Amino acid sequence: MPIVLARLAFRALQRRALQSALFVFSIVAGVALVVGVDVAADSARRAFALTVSSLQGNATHEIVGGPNGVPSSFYRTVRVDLGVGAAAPVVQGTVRAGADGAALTLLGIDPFADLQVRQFLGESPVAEAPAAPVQALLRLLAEPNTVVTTENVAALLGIQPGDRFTLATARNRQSFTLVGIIRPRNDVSAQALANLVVADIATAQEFLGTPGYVTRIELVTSDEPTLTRIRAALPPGLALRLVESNRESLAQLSGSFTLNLQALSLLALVVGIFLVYNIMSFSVVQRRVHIGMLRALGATRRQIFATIVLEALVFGSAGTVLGVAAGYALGGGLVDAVTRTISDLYYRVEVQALTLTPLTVAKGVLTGLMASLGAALIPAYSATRITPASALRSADAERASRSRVDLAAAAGLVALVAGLLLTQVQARSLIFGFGALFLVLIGSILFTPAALLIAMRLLQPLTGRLFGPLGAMAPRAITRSLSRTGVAVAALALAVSVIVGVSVMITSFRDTVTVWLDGALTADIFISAPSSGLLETVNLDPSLADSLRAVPGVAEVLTARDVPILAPDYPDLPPVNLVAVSQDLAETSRRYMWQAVPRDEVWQALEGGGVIVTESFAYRRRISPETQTLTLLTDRGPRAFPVIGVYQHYGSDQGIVLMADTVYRSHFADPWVSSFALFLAPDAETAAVLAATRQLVADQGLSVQSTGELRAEVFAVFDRAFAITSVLRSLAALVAFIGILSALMAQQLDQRRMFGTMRALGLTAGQLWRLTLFETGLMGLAAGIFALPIGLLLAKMLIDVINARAFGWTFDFLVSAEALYQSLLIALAAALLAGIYPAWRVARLAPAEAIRND
Amino acid sequence: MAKQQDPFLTLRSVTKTFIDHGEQRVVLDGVNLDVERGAFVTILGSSGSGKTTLLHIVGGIDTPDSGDVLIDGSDLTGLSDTDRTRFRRRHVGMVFQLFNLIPTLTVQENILLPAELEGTVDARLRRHAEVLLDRVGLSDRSETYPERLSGGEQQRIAIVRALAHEPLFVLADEPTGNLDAENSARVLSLLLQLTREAGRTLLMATHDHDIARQATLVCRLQGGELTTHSAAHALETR
Repeated sequence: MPIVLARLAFRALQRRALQSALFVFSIVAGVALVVGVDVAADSARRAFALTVSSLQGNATHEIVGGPNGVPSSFYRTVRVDLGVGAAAPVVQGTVRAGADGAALTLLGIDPFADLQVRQFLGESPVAEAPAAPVQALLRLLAEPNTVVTTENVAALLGIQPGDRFTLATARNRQSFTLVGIIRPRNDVSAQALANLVVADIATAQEFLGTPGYVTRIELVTSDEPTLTRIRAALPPGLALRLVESNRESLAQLSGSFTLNLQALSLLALVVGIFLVYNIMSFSVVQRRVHIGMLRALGATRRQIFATIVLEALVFGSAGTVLGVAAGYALGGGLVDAVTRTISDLYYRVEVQALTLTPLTVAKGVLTGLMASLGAALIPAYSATRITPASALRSADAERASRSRVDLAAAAGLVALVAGLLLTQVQARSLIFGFGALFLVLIGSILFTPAALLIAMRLLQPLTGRLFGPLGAMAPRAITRSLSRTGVAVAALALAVSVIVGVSVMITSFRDTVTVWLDGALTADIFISAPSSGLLETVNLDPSLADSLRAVPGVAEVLTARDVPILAPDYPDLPPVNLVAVSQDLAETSRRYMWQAVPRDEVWQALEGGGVIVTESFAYRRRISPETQTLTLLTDRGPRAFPVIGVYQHYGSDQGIVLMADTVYRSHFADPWVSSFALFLAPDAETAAVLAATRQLVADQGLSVQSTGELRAEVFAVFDRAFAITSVLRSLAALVAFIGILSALMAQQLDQRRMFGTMRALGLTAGQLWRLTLFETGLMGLAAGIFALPIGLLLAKMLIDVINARAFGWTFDFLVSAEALYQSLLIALAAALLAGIYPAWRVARLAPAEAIRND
Repeated sequence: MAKQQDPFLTLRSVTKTFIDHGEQRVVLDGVNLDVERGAFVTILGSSGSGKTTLLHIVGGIDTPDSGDVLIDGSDLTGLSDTDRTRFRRRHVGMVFQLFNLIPTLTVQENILLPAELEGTVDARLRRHAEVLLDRVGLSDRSETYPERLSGGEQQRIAIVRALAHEPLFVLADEPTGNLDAENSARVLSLLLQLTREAGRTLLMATHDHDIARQATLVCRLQGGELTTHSAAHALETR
């Protein structure tokens, strides 16, 4: 491309500084959200993976068991009978410390055996004996109730070696002496082990209430004959598994959640791309004469095309670089929300440092450049179609744009049909689901200019009758400048439809959860340990039920046991979340997807050995009425349980298996329970019973909640999970605002002479201000009306396609009147707000200057 | 209302300066002018000499830096922006070189726009507009949008728009500057004929000395100074 064209392009952009800035901003916003969500998700994922891998050191395999873990005696078998040297027993649990009950990981180890698996204890100097770390570890063995911990925990609790401090579980509290500080060899390990407390295995067993059992036995071996020997020696109820595959299956827990976030960030990017397209189109329309002159002077179509694309790439590159930087900063803001939700719903994770992987940077760069290029292609092509003759006739441009309206509508129809068909292909693929969603969204938006044309033609007689010729002018001006208004209204409609779609989906989900909770929370008071995620088992003493029954006002106490259980048929999936209940709380209200026995016989069937599973569980494991068994690894080895129904449940997207307590106890020698549900006598006062119950369990750190409090907590978690979508919605609203602002500014520039003439003919500044705002308001109103069906379609797809595939659950599509006026209100407000500045400028226009001929 | 013998339009020491790339450019330098009611005045001058600025100041579209603009006894320079706007829509008709019809209004709506803004459209005014439209030979195009008309047709509509609301005077800024010879002659003839019949004062900026031949007063703008001549004298010295 000749340098003179580049120079011309640069000067043209200098003159339109605002539009250039908006272009860069659109790319910055889109790339920042994509990178930001990735940074937050990667940081959480990496923190979790680091913690797991640092805790497990070099272990290649692990022997795990049921709810109790692995009998300690089997460790002896592995070491002595099977002769496996590189093996270490581990007891692991979550404990709480400090005034605010900070969650820490307590690791019980055998200091000598552990050096075979984990290095961080052996290599790190321990404060009291820097030269001989093993000496400090020996103190763990020699002195009861001693621990070592990290600098982070010591700082958090304000303790030093030699100090005593208290740790608590759901069942007891105990004082420990700190005998050393672990100083991992590098920052990465330090971050991963930040919340670690290490004790001798016997101390940990005693404190966590698992005497005679370890959580797992870790092995470092790749010797297949050794592994075969171990497998052969495994007693029923134990399993040998690869550490790596377990890590991967754990990482999957939050996979759907983070994938959804990433897809939503892409949705914002689509809105951004549309805005860039919008800006580039205006840029070409405004330079028609300029481009026509260049063509007349000998510039080829290819050179014109290259000039426009180069412009887009220059600004796209600037936007991309800034976007990646902004994304990293945004990631820092989002990471708290993401980790909080992951900790609420999946596993406890704490991010000490942000992760910006080369892949994320590459993704951001590619996204930014492709978005800039993609958005510029059509405007660049239209620029090549400008001829010297047509350039001087703006009506030609509008006629051409009107013919493109039909083309866009036809393309929209194709995209819409393709999107709907795509939902039928690969019915479980989330990627295909998102592909279908994007196609349907883009297809619907492509109809917007045609719909705008029709709507304004229909509206014109009405506004003309109501407000005279000036009233008729506004819809005519919109249809006349369709090349600008069509794209601007489409961009606004797209942004508003995303806002409406996501809002309706969230509202529908929330309403469904409300109905579900009404049915599920039939007890009056719930007692449980503070939540530590899906992977933690809380052991409560079942005898507490008797104490609870003795509380005045309590009529009945039910128990539930919540444990992760291995399902041999699904080695690649995380362990099954099994809930064993002494009575079915939601028996009468439960909504079944299907059931093999009549509703009133379900409990009987459960007591007879069957299980019912949630729909997410059934979806992930492809359980259908035809495949009606689920094999679980019980203490006596794998046992197949008949699945007698699949029901709706929104407590966990991993799903749960519900079993009768009596059946559970017959298969697992597990003495503990996880929670209690209290029914009150008809004359009992909830507040009084709550107070008495809290008094009873005061020293155990248990959470005692009324139904209302529990419900509020559930919705707090729900709202936190969706808090991040508010960023998306805000960004979409901002993009909508900018889209309409840039359209109005471009239109104002084009209609300068007309506005000047009208002022000269006697239109006052105030009348011109109102006329411009009326036109803007009409565009906003149209966008709001178009956005509504598109938003509802988007919500329907988010519910029926995306949620169903990502989380395996279905919920009702509930449209409130709020959604209807929200759509109109947002679009109208965005348009009117965006219209204020252009209208103000138009009103201040000096007519003499605007109509000057020379 | 001023006495009959007073000039209809008076400019007293009107000056106007523009800042152009940081430099002051005096466009009107103490311009004085008296115009009788019903006169046809042409303002001659090269491009950039200030003809358009002078018309804009007379029409209340622009304001002078100093000096007085008296129309029928009223001083325009003392009016607020809104009052000048109202003055324009009541009393001024305008014809521009580039026609400047509003593209989103039909021919009829364009013609009635000043009266619509003033709220004075009634059956009589509509009939008047129809008559004028008929006079310019475009009565069958009243529902057409301007972009469907030729340049000559658009300028004829602009003439009707300038006269339909019965203004005190008409300002025409090079009204034939964008037309071919045949259309120029037709447009000019219509403009002169209709303003004369309506008894309106017409001020026209032009390069065309042939047009000046028909004027009652010829003004020449050069270096910011305005000189006035009778039509015959102007032609002798051109």
